[in-house]
Amino acid sequence: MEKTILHLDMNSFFASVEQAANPNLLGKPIAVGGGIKKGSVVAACSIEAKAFGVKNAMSTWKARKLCPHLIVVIGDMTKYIYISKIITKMMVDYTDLVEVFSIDEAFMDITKTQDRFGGAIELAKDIKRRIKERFKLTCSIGIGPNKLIAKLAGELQKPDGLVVLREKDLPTKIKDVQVKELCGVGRKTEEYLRLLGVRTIGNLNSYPREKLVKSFGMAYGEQLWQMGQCHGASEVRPYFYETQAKSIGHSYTLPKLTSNTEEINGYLLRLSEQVGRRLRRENYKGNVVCASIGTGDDKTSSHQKKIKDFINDGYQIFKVAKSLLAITNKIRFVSVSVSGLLHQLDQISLFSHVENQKKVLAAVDKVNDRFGEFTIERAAIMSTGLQGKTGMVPPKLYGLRNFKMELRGIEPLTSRMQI
Amino acid sequence: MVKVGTIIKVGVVFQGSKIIPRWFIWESRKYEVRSLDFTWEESQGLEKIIRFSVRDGINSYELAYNTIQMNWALENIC
Repeated sequence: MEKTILHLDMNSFFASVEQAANPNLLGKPIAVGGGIKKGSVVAACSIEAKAFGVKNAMSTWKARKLCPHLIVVIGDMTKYIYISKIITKMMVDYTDLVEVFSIDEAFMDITKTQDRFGGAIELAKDIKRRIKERFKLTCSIGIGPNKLIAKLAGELQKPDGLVVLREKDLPTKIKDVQVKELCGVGRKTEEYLRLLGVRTIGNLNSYPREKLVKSFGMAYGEQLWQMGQCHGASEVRPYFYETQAKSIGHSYTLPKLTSNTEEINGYLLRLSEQVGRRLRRENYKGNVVCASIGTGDDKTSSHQKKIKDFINDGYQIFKVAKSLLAITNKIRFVSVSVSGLLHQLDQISLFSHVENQKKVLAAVDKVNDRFGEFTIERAAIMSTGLQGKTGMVPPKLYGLRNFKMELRGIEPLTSRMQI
Repeated sequence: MVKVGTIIKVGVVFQGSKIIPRWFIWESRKYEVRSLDFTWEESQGLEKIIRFSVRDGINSYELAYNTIQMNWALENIC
């Protein structure tokens, strides 16, 4: 039986939310980012800004050169996450099989439930209507036999599109589509494929498997060949399934280039504390600490160290991360992550100071849960001038994984239905 | 956007489970809410904050209702 997978992608999500929240911005070129300060980048831009050549991840400075009357709006993640959560709730009204792919994208497996809603197209139209009514936002929906094709279908008509690609139509309908439209084909792969004479999905479809494996290696070459045959994963992993994290990390782009060790250590400590908080919240401990710095010329150097104990205390993470970094040049980016994770590892220590430290951390976490992040912070952060500075990070410790954790609060459809 | 962050007086209508701001007073001046454009929620610790994007016909304002402390604030003028 052919599966029916639906892919929903919110159009210019952050920018559209800001325009809907402030209709004075409607029809104007806007960019959502960290403001107009030096080094800030465009996280998302409106359709009107895109018309001027403004792109996501472009520096605000460059974006303003392309579009001098660009309005830069400071992003508000809590707003976007709230809306994304409500949209996910709407999607769960049609099927339990909703996989959150990112904050503004999700897959649904509607194979078994579409008939209840008048078929896939009617179901898709209903979701679009509800999102528009509730938030005045548009989305593009693609429907296909697997996730790869559903996502591709969604890319074919933007904004506010609805495209269906059935298995039988695939060879004719997408043969002329550029390979870069396929999820998993990045800029470098696209360039390399072009050198091999592969520009379209049709070219990829007829390209010999063994030659792809020879050029891209066994795993990726095989994956590319499968993509060329329009084979993709069709299993939608529901939002309420727990997945084992491999690593937990945070990064930050500094407002300006600096080689000031004290300042960099401040950021490193704040990031380490965030990582520790997330590890404790999700009940993990890890024994590999990785620290990275990026220089002004966009070069990144990463170092990691395996330690003998499994840790989730921000200060311990910071001490290891700090020992890994040697600051010689001016830097603009810093990140900390912990891997080698074990879940629910909580051994009672023989040493009372270790147990006492655990109690202190648990008490601090409890206060911050009750009164909000950064209500209690480590005294060491005081010397860095970053205390209470929530502008550096969102007030909640968001990442896609945390977002998915929050979604687990949404009751699955089956438990709400009287069967 | 201008950050304000001041506790203000707000007149609202509770319509079913919806809260609809009708007017607010800020610095002794009354502003009539002509349109409610957007509503979203966030948590600060255990406190739930409901945020409203409203317009008086000229400017757009962000109002915030703290459901635990039961107070209203004018957060931003956009």
